[in-house]
This record gives sequence, C-alpha cells and structure tokens, in this order.
Amino acid sequence: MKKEPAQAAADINTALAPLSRRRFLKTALWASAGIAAAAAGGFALLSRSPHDSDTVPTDLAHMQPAQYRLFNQLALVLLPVAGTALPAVSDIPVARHVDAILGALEPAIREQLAMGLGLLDNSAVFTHGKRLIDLEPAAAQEYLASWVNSSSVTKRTLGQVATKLTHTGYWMDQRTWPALEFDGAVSRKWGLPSRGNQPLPA
Amino acid sequence: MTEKIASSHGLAVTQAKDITEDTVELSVDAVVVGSGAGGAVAAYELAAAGKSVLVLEAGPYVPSSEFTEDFAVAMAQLYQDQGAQANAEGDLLVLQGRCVGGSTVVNGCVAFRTPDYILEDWQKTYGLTNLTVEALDPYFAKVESNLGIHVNEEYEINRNSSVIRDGCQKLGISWKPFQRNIRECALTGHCLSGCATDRKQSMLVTYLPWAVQKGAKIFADTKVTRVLAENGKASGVQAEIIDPVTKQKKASLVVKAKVVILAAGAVQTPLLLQKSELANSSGQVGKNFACHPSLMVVGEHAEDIHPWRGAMLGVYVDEWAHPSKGGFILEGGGAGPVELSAVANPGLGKSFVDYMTNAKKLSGMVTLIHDHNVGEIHWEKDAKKIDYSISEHDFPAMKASIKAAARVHFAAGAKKVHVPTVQQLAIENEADIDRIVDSIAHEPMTFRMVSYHPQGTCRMGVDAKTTVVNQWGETHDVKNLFITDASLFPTSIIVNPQVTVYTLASYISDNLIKNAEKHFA
Repeated sequence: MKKEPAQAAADINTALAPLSRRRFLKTALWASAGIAAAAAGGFALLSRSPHDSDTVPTDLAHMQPAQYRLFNQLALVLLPVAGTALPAVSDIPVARHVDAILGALEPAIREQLAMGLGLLDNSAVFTHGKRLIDLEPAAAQEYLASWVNSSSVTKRTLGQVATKLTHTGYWMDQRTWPALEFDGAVSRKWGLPSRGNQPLPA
Repeated sequence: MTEKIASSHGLAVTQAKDITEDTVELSVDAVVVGSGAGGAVAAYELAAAGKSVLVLEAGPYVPSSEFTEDFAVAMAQLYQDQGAQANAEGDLLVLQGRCVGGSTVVNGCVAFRTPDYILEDWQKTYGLTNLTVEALDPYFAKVESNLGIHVNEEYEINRNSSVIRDGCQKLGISWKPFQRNIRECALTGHCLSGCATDRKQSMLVTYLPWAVQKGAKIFADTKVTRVLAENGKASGVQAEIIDPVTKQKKASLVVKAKVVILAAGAVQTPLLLQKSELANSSGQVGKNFACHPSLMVVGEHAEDIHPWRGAMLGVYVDEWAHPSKGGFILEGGGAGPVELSAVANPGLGKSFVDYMTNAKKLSGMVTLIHDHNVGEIHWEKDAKKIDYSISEHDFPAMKASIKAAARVHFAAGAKKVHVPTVQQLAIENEADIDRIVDSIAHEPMTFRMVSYHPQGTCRMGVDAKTTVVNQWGETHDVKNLFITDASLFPTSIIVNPQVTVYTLASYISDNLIKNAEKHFA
C-alpha cells in the first residue's frame, strides 16, 4: 500500500516519537543488536525498489527477506574495499553472517529490529526521494551518517545497529583477516602444547 | 548417570547428555550454584575439608580443546546470552561467561588485590571491620600462589602496551605492569575466547579439577530455578537440566543440602533470590548494581602496533585510580578486527575502510571507572532487566578517563585519537582534547560501552536493614544460605574483581569450615 508522503512522514514521526520517549534499546557492542520498537502494525513500503525482487536464499535462519536484501546493499555501500587487498564484498556472505548474529536475539527483539530497519530504509524517501536500499553509495553513506550522528537517540540507535551489524558481518569472516595481518587462531598453527590441569596445590 | 573420573586434562562433568532419568534427587552437605570464581573456590575448599559438594552450572561444559580462538564463535559458545547481554537502554554490553568455569574462562587474566582504600570504606561504611588488609592477606596470598599470579615480565608486554608505557613515561605519570593469573603465557592474544592450551589459570584448570579430586561433583547444563528454605534455614535447591541443543528440559533435579552457596554472578544470583522470594527483607536484593563501565580509546600511530599480538593486557595506568584523583584506571588492551570495527566511529564508507586497513597501526586503551552503585537487576514479567545508566556523578569520570587516555596516546606518538562515541568524533591535536570531550552530552546511546565486571547486587554489611549478606557471607534472613560472588561487593572496587571474589570466597569458606558444627549439623 503506498501512502501519501505527508501522511507517511507523520507515520514515521509517530513511530519515532514513542521510541524516543521509551528509550528502548538493546544494542550489543560486538555481535548482535535488537530494538524495542513501539510502532505496532509494521511499516508499509513507501516505494517499490528493483531490489525487492532480488533473490534471497531459502535457508535463512532468522532474517526476513527484506532485511537480507537491505544488508546486501549496505555491505556494498559501507564497505568500498575495491582497490585494497581486502576480499570483495561479493565474496563474503555478509548478510548471511548477520543472519547468524540475529540468532542471539530473542524472537520479539528480532521482530522489532525488522521494524526498525524498515523505518530506516523507508525514511530515506523523504530526504532523498528513494529508499535507502536504492541510494547511490555516497548518498547512502550521507544518509546513514546523518542517523548515526543524529541528536535523536532513536535515529542514532537505528543507524548504529545497521552499520555495526554490516561491519561485524564482514570482519567476522576469516577471509578478511590476512589483509589486516590479523593472525586469527594460532595455537594449533604454532604447535603449542596444552599445559593441562594445574596439579593440586601442596 | 555415567560416572566419570578426573584426569590431568579436561574435567569430569555430568552433562545433559549423560542424564537418563526424568527426575534426579541428590543429597549433599553443600550445593554451590555457579562454577565461576566464587563457586569453584568454595567447592574446592569445602570438598578439601571433607564435605560432600555438588556444583551446578547453568552453562555448558566446553573443554579447552574445543576453544576456537575465534571471538565470534566464543561469544556464542561461552558467553551469557551469546555475548548479547545488555542494559535496558541498550548502550552497555554486560559481558559474563556462561560455561563451566564462568567468567574466569573468558576474562583477560588481570589480577588485582582489593585496593586498601576500598576495604577501609567497607569497614567504615558497612561495618565490615573483619575485612581488614591484615585479615585478608593470607587469603590473597593463597589464591595468588594457587593461580600463578605474577607481575608481567617484559616478554608479556606487547607492542600495544609498550607504546602506552612510553606515553606514561613521557608524561611522568604512574603506570605498572599488570599481574595476571597465567602460567607460561604463549602470547596468543586470545584470552577473551578462552585459553586453548590451558595457560590461563581459570577455574577450568585449577579449582574445579581440584574440587573433583577431593570428591566434588559438577553438573553442567543445569539451571537452578529456586533456592529452598525451611524455618528460616536453607535446605537445598530445585533445578532443571536443559538439553543445550533443543533447549528443552531433560530432567528435574532436586538437591537437599545443609548449606547452599550462591555464586551465579551479580546478575543471576539476585534474580534467583528474587524468584525464590528469599533473603530480601532489606529490599536490597538486585539493587546497588555497579559495573565499571568501560570504553576503548583507540590511537592511530604511524608505526605498526598489531594490537592483537602478544599478551592481551600488558600495563595499566593508575595515576588517577584513587577516588580523590578521579577514580579511574586505564588498561593497555589488545583487540582484533571485529572489536576494532565496533569501538569507534571513524566515519562511513572509505573512511571506515581506511581505518580498518590500518588496524595494525592502532593502539587501544580500556578505561574503567569507579562507578556509583546506581543500577538494579530485576525481573520484568519473565525477562531479566538490567537497569543501569551512567549517573550524573559518574559522567565526569567517564569524560576524564577519555581525556587521560587521549593524553597518553598523544604522548606515545599517536597522530589521531578516536573518541569512543556512537557519533563520529576524533581528536587530532592535543590542544583540542578538553574542548572535544567536553562537548559530549550526557545522553543514552552516546558511548560505546562494555562492562566486564557486574557487581554489588547482594551487598555485604552488618546492618540487615540495608544489606543482604552479613560479614561472613551468610544472608541475614536465611541461615546456611551464603553468597560468594561479586554481588557481595558493597561498592564498586575500581579494579578487575576476580581476585577479590576468589579471596572473599576463600575467606567465607574458611569461616564456614571453622564453624562446621553450626552449619553442617
């Protein structure tokens, strides 16, 4: 269902306001995130995107298809690694890794995260005329930065969640480590013997 | 049930897969809830004194041979809520271990005695006149000897810590090498993922196998659901043995015990007492939560640092440790790519990729503040809630610790310091430190915070109206119900808490044994 922009903007503000009032937030620093969103009833798409028909794996454990598509696009936007020694984003299953991360969330939080990401994706229509998933990289980065650096706690949270999940989904993959000279697991590589249990104290 | 025997590697643990009955009933002298720092020490000391001891651990048994040295995997395998435990506002990660050995399996091995001025405060404010430096010294010494605690030697100070040391020396400020509970450190840098070759002297390779050698039994996958008491005296616990794969209950467990020792940590112990409706006439169970909220302040250098290489924690800065000087310490802490990608906001897109491709040139310093006990742990319907925000009293200390870390970084030669805020904020000139840090507003979702040290939720003291546990570790309200974890601390202690927990657990156990006729009759 497509809404009139003004009405949809009011919907967004309505969605954001109680989130700000409640100061909800459950964000993990390392690996996972969740958002307690107040907007019941979901969030209608404001515009269709060509990406809405991108193929999605059938064996996703926790993620909704819309989120998978969004994280695929976020990985391309947030990780411009071309020209570096880092593996191409297309070679790293960022969205799949994020799917695994979401497994750490309680189901209710995962659902609310989906709503929050929907909010983030669709709100770009009012500032940039397109959903976040359709923005060119520079515009997408500018938009996400405006949320991460916002004085609104809610926008900061949603921006932070989206960027952190994307970043973690890339850097947790061991194929990204050699370019950083990060050694990863070393005990077996170095042939370190196990000390075993410490003997009983005298 | 399958009987297992102790060995020189690994640990004899009864797991859910070993259980064939629907109901298990056991009777012991002492049941210990939690197998981390406080539980393992209590289990060993009581077993060594000839008591029958059962340790119940909610988390899985993961032998060190299964540690992967991959932090993302370790979070899922060894940490509470797979590393996602956070405060209600979502801007503070509260990391705890959830496995046999508890947080001692995944900590950074840092060992501090309780600062003298903290003990003095406890004596004066909470009446804990028995907890003097002199009284606790033999217990500190025993624990330090048992766990191989030693001052880091030069080879244990990695490049990350040595640049911090250089910065401190240039500024003329006080720094020291850490003491750590580790033997023959192999310098892998993977402390937080569990030590794969048993060099970290966690409970998994020390007090727990010793307890088993003295006859204690350990159950993993076993969540205690209720503490039982009759006529004002602890009588045992009820628990569920949960299949870790299906997450379904496999069996019920009822344990009759003369003494119940709670050591499930400062988040789980108060939750269990609240569920059990015990020991809370003071109304303080779950209150007074503190956690040393930490930030990682990252400096960019021109030279290679490789902050993930070598011993993870080398030196610390104690110039401002005393409460009168600020009440915070700075710790030279290593980090890998996932952590470094999350501790700062260097910008998005190319700026971020540049920051990460130069990760080997970053050095990290972790800040810890002596926070006020302003938080609360409680149930909200059936979910736990950690209500904690940085208080108005503590926000200045958070900023002061960032400023101090920035000064040390610049003195060490850093050309840029990333402020650990959600918003993008960096300092490129020492002259700008105060202006930039002072611009940070006190709001939720401002700092990228982690706590490794939850504490304070069942505080110790002589006044039953304002504390949960007496000076001997026994709850005021329920006889033979003891607590031996960090929930005992009446105040936050500024420094890493494991040695304080080991020492208090030793002290409390010793007094239990000295008064065995009273408690084990």
